[in-house]
Amino acid sequence: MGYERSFRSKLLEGMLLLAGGAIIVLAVAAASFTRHLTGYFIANRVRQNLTVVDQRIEHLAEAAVRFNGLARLHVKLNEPLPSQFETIMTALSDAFELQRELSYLGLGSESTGEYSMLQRTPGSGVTRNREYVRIPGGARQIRDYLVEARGRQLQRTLPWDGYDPRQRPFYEAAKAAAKPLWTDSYVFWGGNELGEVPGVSYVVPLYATGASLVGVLDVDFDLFDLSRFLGAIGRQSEGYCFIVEERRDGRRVLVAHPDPSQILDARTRLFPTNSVIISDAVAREILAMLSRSPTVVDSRSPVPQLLHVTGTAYYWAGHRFDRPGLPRWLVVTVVPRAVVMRETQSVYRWLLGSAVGLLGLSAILAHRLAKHVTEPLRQLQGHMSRQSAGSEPSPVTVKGPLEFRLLAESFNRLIAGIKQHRQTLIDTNRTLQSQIEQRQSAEAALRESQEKFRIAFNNSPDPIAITTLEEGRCLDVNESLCRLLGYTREEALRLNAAEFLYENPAERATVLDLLRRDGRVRDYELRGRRKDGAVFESSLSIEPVAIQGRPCLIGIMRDITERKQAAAELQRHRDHLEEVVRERTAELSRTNLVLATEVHERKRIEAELRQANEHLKELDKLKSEFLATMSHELRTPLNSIIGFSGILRQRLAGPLTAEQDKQLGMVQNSARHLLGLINDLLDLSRIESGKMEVHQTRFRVSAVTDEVLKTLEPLARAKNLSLQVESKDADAEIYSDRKKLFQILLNLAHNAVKFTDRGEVRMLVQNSPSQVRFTVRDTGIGIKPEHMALLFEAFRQVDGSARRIYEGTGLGLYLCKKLASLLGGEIWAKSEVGKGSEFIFTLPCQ
Amino acid sequence: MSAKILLVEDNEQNRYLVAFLLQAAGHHVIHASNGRDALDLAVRHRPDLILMDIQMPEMDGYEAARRLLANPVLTGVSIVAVTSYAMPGDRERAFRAGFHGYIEKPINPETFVAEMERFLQKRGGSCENSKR
Repeated sequence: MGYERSFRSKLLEGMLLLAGGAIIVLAVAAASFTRHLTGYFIANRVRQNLTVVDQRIEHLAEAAVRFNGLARLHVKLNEPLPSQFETIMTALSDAFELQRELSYLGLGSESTGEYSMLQRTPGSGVTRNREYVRIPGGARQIRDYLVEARGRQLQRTLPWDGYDPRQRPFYEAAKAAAKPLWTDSYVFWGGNELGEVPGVSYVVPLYATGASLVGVLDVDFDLFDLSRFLGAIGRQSEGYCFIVEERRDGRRVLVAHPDPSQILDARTRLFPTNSVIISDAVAREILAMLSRSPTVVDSRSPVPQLLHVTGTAYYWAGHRFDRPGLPRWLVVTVVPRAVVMRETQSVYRWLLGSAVGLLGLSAILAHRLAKHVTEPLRQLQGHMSRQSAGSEPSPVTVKGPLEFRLLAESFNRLIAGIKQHRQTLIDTNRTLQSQIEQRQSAEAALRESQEKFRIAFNNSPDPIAITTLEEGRCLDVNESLCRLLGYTREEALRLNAAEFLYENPAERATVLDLLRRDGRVRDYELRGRRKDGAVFESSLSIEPVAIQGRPCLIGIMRDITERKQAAAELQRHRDHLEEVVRERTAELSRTNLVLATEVHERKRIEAELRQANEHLKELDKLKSEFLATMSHELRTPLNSIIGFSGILRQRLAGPLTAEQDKQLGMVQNSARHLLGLINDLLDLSRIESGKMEVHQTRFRVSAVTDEVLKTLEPLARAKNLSLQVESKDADAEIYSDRKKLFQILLNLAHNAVKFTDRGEVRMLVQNSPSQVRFTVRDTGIGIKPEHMALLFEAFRQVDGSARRIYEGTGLGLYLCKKLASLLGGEIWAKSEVGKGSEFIFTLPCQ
Repeated sequence: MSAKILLVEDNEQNRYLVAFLLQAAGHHVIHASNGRDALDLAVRHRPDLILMDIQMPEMDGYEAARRLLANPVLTGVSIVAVTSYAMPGDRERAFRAGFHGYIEKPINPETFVAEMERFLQKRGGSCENSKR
């Protein structure tokens, strides 16, 4: 058995096979069941129809029999009949009204020959009564009544027409049979209103007490009425019933059919003698079959039979009434097979749907079951596949049936075991690793130590020998020693220490004594001898050591010949140095004396400087005081001059002549000029001594230019000059010293007005984000190029001739320049003689 | 409205000038030529306004102002400095000494009286208040 495919697909396959098997069984069962079901449906449908029709017929029969009983009762009650005929008829007509199934009732009297008949018109329900009565005197008369709920209404009276209804065949037959009987169906004349009517009668001979026949009662059924009933049962396409009468003569007549036109021959208006006339092919065929074989219908259990007529299949069955008291009728019911099949087909469809549903359900169930089983397996498998070779195995959690959880637990125990084992291995490995590393490092250290020793020993600048203690045998000598003594290493190793280290070999014993006493020897001075016999001064240090348990010595021998010579040289130098020091000291004390003199001098100068400084400060103070006093003292008389000239010109002190007023004006101007000079001087003094304070505020530029304009307007008007300010941005603001800006602008504009006799003076204000540029332009006398350089200097009114005409302190522009630079601005001028000047002044916005 | 004004000024011309202007405007002027006289005259005449120079012999304006202000009889009287001091800090110093106003010389004869009358109105209100 192969296991190539997954558990899931196997399970799915199994479930589907199982479901498929179930479906096949179900299909076989359904097919068989459907066959039975078809039979059942047909039988049921046929039986339903038969039952309904049978009930109707039995009901009719019962009605007839009931009337029989009623008639007999009345006959008994109202004997003798002849005298009571009217009474009986009245009672029977009442009963007839109630018994709506009946279409006709007739009663004949044997003794008088009278006859009365009640006939109901189908549809309208109107009942008429015709009586053939014998009037007193023996004559016969016909009376027609209309029967109403409250009784009969005589409508007309006719003379007897000679017809005796008692001559009718069924009347005779009843008399002959002497018992109630059903007639064969027949066609009678229902009057002008109804025409030919097929019917059947139940005829009852009535006997008085004493067994004498007194009359015959007959009640009729209208077969058209019965046909209408059959038609009302259901639609013909769904199946229908018809009734065949099996007559005593062996003929079969169609007596009731949902289509009443099938019953009577259209031409003769009688029951057709040949069934070929019947247009219902099914009925015709069944009639033919019955003719051939009457037993095709089994009355006890109607078995549906299949019939093909004009390409359509029908099921049909019949029920025969052959009991006494019932007409000899065969009720046939026909159902198209399509109708039955339609019903069975719905069962088929239901079964098919169920099968598909079952299949689907099986697939889902299989899928779920497979998932239920494979999911834990998948989890386990997934977990295992995630455990890569090198990683730490981890326990798995499986959600699923108990078996899988147990499997997972086993797996986890296995994992735990592996982990523990693995950890032990790792620990052991780590221990081994560290042991190896320790050993390796120890070996390396040893190697390094040996190497270091070898290098140190061989390359040591100190000559070293290692000898045994007792014999003085050389164990090793280094390069320095070989170089010092002139032996090769091989030669040295063959020699005894006493022989080749000491000039006097006996001296070694002395050294060994020292060693025993002190435990070591340090810088023992002795004479050594080289291989070539040369003797040299040396110093020996010895350290006792044990090499592999044997007492040995390490001896270091230094050549100190040079050192000894150097020591002698040093002594000579020292003597010389002392001499030099003595000389230098003498020189230094001389220099010192000079320096002391210099320090004294410097201190004196410092004192003088301090004094000069004090003096300067004093002078500065004096200057300030002088300025203040000068300002004060000049203002006091100026106050009087300006004040009194003002009072006079205001005419406060009395009237003035024009000339006086003009001259007082000149006094006033001169005084004001002087005042301006004082103020300018004070400002300059402040600027130069750094005492001018700057008060910065934010203000609108146009406010200042407007103020300048307002101040100079009277003067400009007096000189007939146009004075204007041009500004692009009237709301521009600046952060600066407003008072000083005003002072500068006023000064520039005042100069312009002053030096202009014709034309105009314009102040232009131009803003940029960083600065404001003021331009004061006039159409005045202008400035000669050679004077431009002197323009902004103190007391330089540029033109000597101008000075006579135009007043000015000569300090104005100088002060403007100083103020401008104090505010961080610049000022310069352009001019053309005779055309005008332009003074430009820029000021930073902040 | 005519007011009583004490004028303290050592320079005769200047005193005459200011007095002339004030009297021309209809005010009554009391003259003093130094601080000491001013103290006496102020207590005696109870002026509505005191105009005082600062640099004066005997007692200077600062001292005189301090003393005038310390006298409860003179509560509510404005003292205005009329001075030739024009150096930086002079104005601040005057206000610190208690002067209510500061006019730099040379005065403008056209606007001076109007300026004085502003002080009269301003202080007159509070003077009224203090009497009540």
